[in-house]
Amino acid sequence: MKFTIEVPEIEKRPKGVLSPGQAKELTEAIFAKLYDEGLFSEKQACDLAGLTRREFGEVLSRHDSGSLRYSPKNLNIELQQKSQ
Amino acid sequence: MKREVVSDAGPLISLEKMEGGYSFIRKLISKIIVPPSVLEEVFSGSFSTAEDYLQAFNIQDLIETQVPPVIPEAINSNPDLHQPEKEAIALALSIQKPLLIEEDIGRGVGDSLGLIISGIAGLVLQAQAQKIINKKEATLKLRELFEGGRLNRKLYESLLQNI
Repeated sequence: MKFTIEVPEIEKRPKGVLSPGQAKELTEAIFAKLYDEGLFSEKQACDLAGLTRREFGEVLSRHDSGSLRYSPKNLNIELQQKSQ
Repeated sequence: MKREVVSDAGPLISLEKMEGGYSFIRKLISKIIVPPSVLEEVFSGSFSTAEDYLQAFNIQDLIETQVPPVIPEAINSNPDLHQPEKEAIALALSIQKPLLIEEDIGRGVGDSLGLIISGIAGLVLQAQAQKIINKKEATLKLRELFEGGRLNRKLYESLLQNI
């Protein structure tokens, strides 16, 4: 799977064309959402986005998400620690 | 009795996201053993050397590096694992210590190999259950993990319901 967002290098962008900053933000939001929904593994997301795990974590924090995702199994693993 | 654990990179980053995270973990864990590659992943980008990182958090006595053994094929052949993550799982398996890990695929592999696994959020709950921290402190630490990008919203909210 590959996403490409091309942003023209022009002084005045026509209405509807994203700035490089907006394109970056949108790309990050897409990756964060797809990761949060469980469609990517962390490694897939990092490799596709060209980010380290720490950098990808920062992306997730900016998009209301996080590295450790909800799943019944993950919830159970964390809750089990209460009785350790 | 405090335990020794092996850790992947994610849980160490989680500890950084909590105010006094490493001081907190000392109340539960006496030694965090990591492959050199995990420590390198954690300090890279923020510090010049591993020693700088350890000094900055005053954890020279808490973190110990150990070179992992040859990685078993069941771990090494998985394309969805980061290399340091593979080494952390192999190390935990070889020295039979619990593994701190917060990445889904690695958790599945570790679990299938019989490792005891946890994330930092679970240790926050454990500390509260043992009355090392109170409910307010546990709630704050979970919020720091969420706001630091270490827990997604649904897991964060589910954990809050169980404090």
